[in-house]
Amino acid sequence: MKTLLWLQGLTCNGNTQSLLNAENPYIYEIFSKINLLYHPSLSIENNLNEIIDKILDKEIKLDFLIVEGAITKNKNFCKIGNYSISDLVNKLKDKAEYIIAVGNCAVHGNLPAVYRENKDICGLQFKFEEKKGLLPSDFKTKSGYPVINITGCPIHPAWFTQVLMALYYDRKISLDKFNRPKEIFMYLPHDGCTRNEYFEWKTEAEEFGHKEGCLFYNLGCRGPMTHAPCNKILWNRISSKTRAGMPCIGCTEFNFPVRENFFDTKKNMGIPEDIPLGVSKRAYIMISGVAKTLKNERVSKKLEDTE
Amino acid sequence: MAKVEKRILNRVEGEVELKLVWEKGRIKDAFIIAPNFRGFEFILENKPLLDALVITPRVCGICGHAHLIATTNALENLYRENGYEIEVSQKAQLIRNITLSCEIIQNHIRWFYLFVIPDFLKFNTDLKDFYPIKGEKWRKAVYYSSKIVKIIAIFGGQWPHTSYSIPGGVMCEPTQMELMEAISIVDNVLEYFENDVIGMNIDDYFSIKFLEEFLEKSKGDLKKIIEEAIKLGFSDIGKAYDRFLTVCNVSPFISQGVTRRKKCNFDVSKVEEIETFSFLENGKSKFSKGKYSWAKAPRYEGKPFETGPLARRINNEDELFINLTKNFKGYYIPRIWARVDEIGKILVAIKKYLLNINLNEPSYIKPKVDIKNLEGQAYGFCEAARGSLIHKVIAKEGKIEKYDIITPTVWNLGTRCKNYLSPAEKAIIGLSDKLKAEMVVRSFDVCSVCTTH
Amino acid sequence: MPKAIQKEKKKLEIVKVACKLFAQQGYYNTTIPDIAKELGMSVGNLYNYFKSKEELAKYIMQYSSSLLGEEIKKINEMNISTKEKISLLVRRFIKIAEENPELIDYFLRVFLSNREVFSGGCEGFLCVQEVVTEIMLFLEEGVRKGDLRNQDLFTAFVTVMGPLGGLVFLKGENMLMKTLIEYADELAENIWRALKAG
Repeated sequence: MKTLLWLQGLTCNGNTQSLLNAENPYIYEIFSKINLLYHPSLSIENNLNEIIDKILDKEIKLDFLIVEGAITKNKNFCKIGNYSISDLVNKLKDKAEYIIAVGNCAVHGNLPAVYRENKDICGLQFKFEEKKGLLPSDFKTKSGYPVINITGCPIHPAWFTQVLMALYYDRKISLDKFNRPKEIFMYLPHDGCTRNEYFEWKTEAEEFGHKEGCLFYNLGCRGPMTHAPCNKILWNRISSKTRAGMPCIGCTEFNFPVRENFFDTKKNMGIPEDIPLGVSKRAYIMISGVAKTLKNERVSKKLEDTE
Repeated sequence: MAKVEKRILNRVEGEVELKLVWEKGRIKDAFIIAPNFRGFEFILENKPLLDALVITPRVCGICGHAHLIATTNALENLYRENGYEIEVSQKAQLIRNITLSCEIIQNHIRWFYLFVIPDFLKFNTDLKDFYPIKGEKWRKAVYYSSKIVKIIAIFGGQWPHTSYSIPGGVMCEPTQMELMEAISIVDNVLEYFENDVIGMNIDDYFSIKFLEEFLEKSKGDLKKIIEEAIKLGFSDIGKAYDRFLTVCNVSPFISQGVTRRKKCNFDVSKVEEIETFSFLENGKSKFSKGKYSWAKAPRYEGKPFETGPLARRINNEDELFINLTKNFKGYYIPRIWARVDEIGKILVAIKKYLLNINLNEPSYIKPKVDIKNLEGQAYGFCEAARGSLIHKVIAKEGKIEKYDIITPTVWNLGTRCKNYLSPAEKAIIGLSDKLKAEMVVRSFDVCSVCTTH
Repeated sequence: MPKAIQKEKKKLEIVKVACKLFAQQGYYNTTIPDIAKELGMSVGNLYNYFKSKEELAKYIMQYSSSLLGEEIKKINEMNISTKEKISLLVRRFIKIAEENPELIDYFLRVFLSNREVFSGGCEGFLCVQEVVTEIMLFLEEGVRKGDLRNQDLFTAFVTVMGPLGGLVFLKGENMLMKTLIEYADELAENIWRALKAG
């Protein structure tokens, strides 16, 4: 049976909580196939040190090392027994077949890395955009993969479980430039958003609280500039922030914790400073002008009033 | 001679260490150590006010929604403190209550089945169904706790970590059909609660006033665990100070108040945070001798208070729980029961909220004044799964100058002050069994990520 | 010469003549036969190029917009300061106006005064979007670089285009004492001062 060990650094536990919501597979289905050696919130026994010793003594083969939370060497700010989270990762990094960083904290450092009093906070292989994490930039696990990064604050459980299962069945996965699984992070929240037609016809939501209108132009939505399949694999398998009416805040990207004014689109002379990925600003302006002038009658009404 | 022992406490939210000082086979002194610190209050400084709606929920992955509601309340109160009226429709208020309630139910179910019950398995009991991962009861708890948060996703897009509530209302505009979907989820979880958790009809359960009556009528998991706890000698352990704190009203079954012998109204000006034993002092880290945890020590009129579902029952003068505190000299059992009890009360309330939503009301009423113009300070209160949550924001030139968060767990599991241990530290003094000591600490629901933030 | 290029060349000739006639006599007073006669071609042949007077009218706008748009695009792509860009923009506009006075005349006297002709595919910015887009890009970049004061797009847009159109109009009315280009520096300075940050 393949094995999995889950460690936590500086975390809110949100990824663990999100994982508990997993469906297809459910968490208990995963851990019927994979032996969960230890998880700080779920294990019945408090035997992390014994398990680590057994892994180091090669009594236990470690297949998946999962890390949730930001990394620091400073034990004053983060301590697991007598160790720091970086001590534990360093002990196990050459033993694990795969290492998966779960959530923006473990990948990029995220919000904890913004805290001024502890400067050495980072992710496993990245610190924000740069490859300046705990592990060297050319680090690879036994399987030949670098740390596989699942970003998100928090992750959607399926992003993790589906990748885990692919590796479990010895399938190959391809990674993007942040070492994120391509098949998950090649989508944008924009893809599949129920407000897409409003985006297309430049019908902007002027304020919150309406199911109509695109949230991009006024309300800060990062859907067209963020890598995450939030409107393909729905949250809690039922909806998504943009479907409900909340703008995407770009929580799967490295710059999430340093961006400001989440609910306000930064505009210069009325033109969004950041525009949808893949289009030039010139093309964006042209198509917006055309769409606005031609106006779609249906999307300019409350849905209840449409034919 | 006293012997000092340090133990990591797992199966909690985050990481906590117990330092126990033993003498003659009993715990003479106890330190609850929260060793991890992320500095959220400092990360919030100089951020635009509304960004707090995105940042504070990330304090905690299990009760982040409570932080969102507390921030919303603090920012709305900031408008009022500046002399501006802020209008929130009843619809928006109901939707906020619904989503917060769903998070609490999720918390309570996961805590009871995933964090509390596994300890009982260590006593060679006949509770195989409850075994983590494999046990049918464990699986159901995961299934239904995940099911109830689908309602948060319907209104807020996702759980954990939505920020769909904002000064002036909520961001969603649900349709009737979505309300129907939410109602069917509530019904479904309620059925689970009746069949599995309390093992009886909910109305019959609500009529119960005495322990014996419950043990006689119930066939549920709660009864099993209470009987097991009584058998294992938990009746007399786990009492803290007999002082209880609740900061807001969530009608009709949660009412604010401060009870010590008799009940008074809560007054936030009587709250202070003592930093003597905390690594955090005046906004700086300090590791001098005697300091042992990142948590502070909140005190009300100088005294430690217990907060949470048991406090809510006591402050609500709930007959069953007044009786239970007489039945059990220690509060381990009432504390756990109060939490499970709340699942039922809240489920019934959510259904009422859902049916009372008037969809013709606006979801969001834009405040007339831009938040950038607000100055000064305001509080936001929230009754979260683990108890009373207080946010305080100080604004300057449209930005956060200072942000202070007092979580329920820091009331219960924070550090001591010169005169008093924290409630959870107090509750394990004198115990002779370290497993039981851990279980008592878990009965307060250790959420170390909230305790230190 | 390949046929397609020949056809484009002829189209351009038609545009110039039509432009002049529309501006001089008014849109409604000018007929297709008038234009054909002036060009020395048959009415039937002219219809090979444009199916209607309205189509011709719209085409003229699109043609002028892309002509000016191309010029501003070149400026946008230069690695020079926002202030220098304004100066260049003013000079290029004046140069086009001097070289093709009929186009500017047409814009002022026909396009702006006969809006009903330009409905159905040419309303709003549809026929002039190249120019509008390039001006928008220029303004956005100016704000992003911190050179220009952030404001509503339209106030900024008319602050750039209004003075240029106005000056050319005065020239057309023979009101100006100097040549257009002699006003360029002063005008550029005015636009810069009106838009700059701080």
